[in-house]
Amino acid sequence: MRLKTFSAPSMTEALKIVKEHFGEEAIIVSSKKADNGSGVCVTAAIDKDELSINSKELYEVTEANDFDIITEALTRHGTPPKISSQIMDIISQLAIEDVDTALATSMDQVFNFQQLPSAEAQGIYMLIGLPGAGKTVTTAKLAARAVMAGKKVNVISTDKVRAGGFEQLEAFTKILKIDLMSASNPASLKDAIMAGNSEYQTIIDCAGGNPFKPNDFKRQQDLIEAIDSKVIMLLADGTDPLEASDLAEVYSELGAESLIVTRIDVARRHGSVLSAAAGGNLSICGIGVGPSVSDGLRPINPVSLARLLLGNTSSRLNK
Amino acid sequence: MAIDNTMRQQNGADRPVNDNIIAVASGKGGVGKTWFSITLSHAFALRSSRVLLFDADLGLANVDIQLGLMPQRDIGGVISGKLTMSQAKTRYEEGKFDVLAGHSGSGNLAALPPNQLINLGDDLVEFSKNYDKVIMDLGAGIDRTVRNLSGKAATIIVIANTEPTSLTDAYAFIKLSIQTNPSADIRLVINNCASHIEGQRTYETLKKACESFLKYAPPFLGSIRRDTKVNEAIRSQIPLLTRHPMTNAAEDAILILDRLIAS
Repeated sequence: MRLKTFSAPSMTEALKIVKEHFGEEAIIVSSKKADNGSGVCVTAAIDKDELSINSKELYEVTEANDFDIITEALTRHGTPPKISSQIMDIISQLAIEDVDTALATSMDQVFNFQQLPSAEAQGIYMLIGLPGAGKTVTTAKLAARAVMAGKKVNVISTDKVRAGGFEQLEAFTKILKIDLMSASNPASLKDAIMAGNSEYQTIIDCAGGNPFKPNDFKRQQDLIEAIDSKVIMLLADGTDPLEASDLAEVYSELGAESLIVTRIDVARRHGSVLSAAAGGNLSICGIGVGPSVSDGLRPINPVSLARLLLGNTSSRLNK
Repeated sequence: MAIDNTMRQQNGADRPVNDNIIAVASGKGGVGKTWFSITLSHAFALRSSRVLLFDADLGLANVDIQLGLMPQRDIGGVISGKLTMSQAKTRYEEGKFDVLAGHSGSGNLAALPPNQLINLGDDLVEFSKNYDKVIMDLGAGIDRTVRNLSGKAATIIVIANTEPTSLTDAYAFIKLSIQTNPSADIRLVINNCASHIEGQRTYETLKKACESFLKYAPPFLGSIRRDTKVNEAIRSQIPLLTRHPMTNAAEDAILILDRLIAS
């Protein structure tokens, strides 16, 4: 609201000045005789700040409910408070009208996103993660993508510890008509890489046990350091968010730079996606959905992540 | 924007408020918010109410300074999770009411992250159950903290003086409050005026603007006459109702309290 007092010899003239100054919208909020006895003083007001100085404030007001919706969603997913605050701080600076876009914009600023390894790309990808995180199935999914794109692919398993680990992957690779290679130590891993065709994409299912156990950590570290690869952490969605953050930190120490979150379809709370990405400073690059090897791996971007957090998981993903 | 009464009530239905929380707001700083909050708290306490005065000017607190208190604990401890509100409060024995002091000189509390702000508001609503009246001295301005905390109050007293800047800021606060919560119960007090006639005239000015632009005008609780005893009491860090209970400003404040209770 603008408020201004005008003096004039008569009320008629005063009103004319007000109109010239403030336009038709102005109202007179008070009037009195001028102090010197001749003429009048009128105070006029106009409420035009919606367009100018107060537009940001108004936006924030209309967003008050959206704000609550997002805060509640983050809380429901068990997002650690520090990350929530970071996200909400960004949103509070934004003038965006719908929740999906507001959260997506904030996601884009807080987290890094990356493409899934392209089916055509050469290069070596090493998948690490806890037992049960979905390394083997994701290896198969990545291999299937390449095969379906008409490319050949080298697949290596380091899983000689778990009973049936190798055989599980072999069941997939047989269908895809790929020879599965095996490597259980740094030297044999190097050999397997040499044996493979360097024009093809190489995917390594790198079982590593418990990364919090010094022996397992060392063994995995040696395997990772033996070759030059892009290391991707696999995380089962629904893991406790703080646990996920700790895991991401240790896998990041081992060299992981990006993150694929599996079992998205069977988890209902996705705070671990955010806490792992933040904890290990990892780029979020894909999500695993369902056991189907042919289309069970999907890219993720700020918008789809925002929708995942805000909406009904399965219906959103099946769109 | 037109607001009919049904909508005003519906929108306010599910808000977590306690009907004993009164917020004191102004928009503009320096119009006497803190002094009025203290005087109101004191007046309630003098009538045997259990009163909490919450300094909601989180980053630049001064309730404790005006009262000459040296609080060992303040809201900073509550926000950082170390203290409950019950542990953080300080008893102001002379006035027979409790004070939850703000954290002076820590600007970062003023920009509290949204979820901490929500927690703080919820804590306050919960803690207010221990009192008959909770007076919340809001910070100046219309930022998120102020708007959010004022949403916890059943009644918001907007205090202004006769200066145009104070009126436009009070108007801005009323407008935002009404837009956020159409059922907000807002009352007006005009402070530091030469006479009740001037106070009334100032109120009419603001009322006219609100009626024209917002289709709603908050009712008037009264005006407080300019009184040198107020400054004198603030300087000596003694509440006005103790030091000069019979002076003009004290009388006016008591009258406002009576109208508040009556309505």
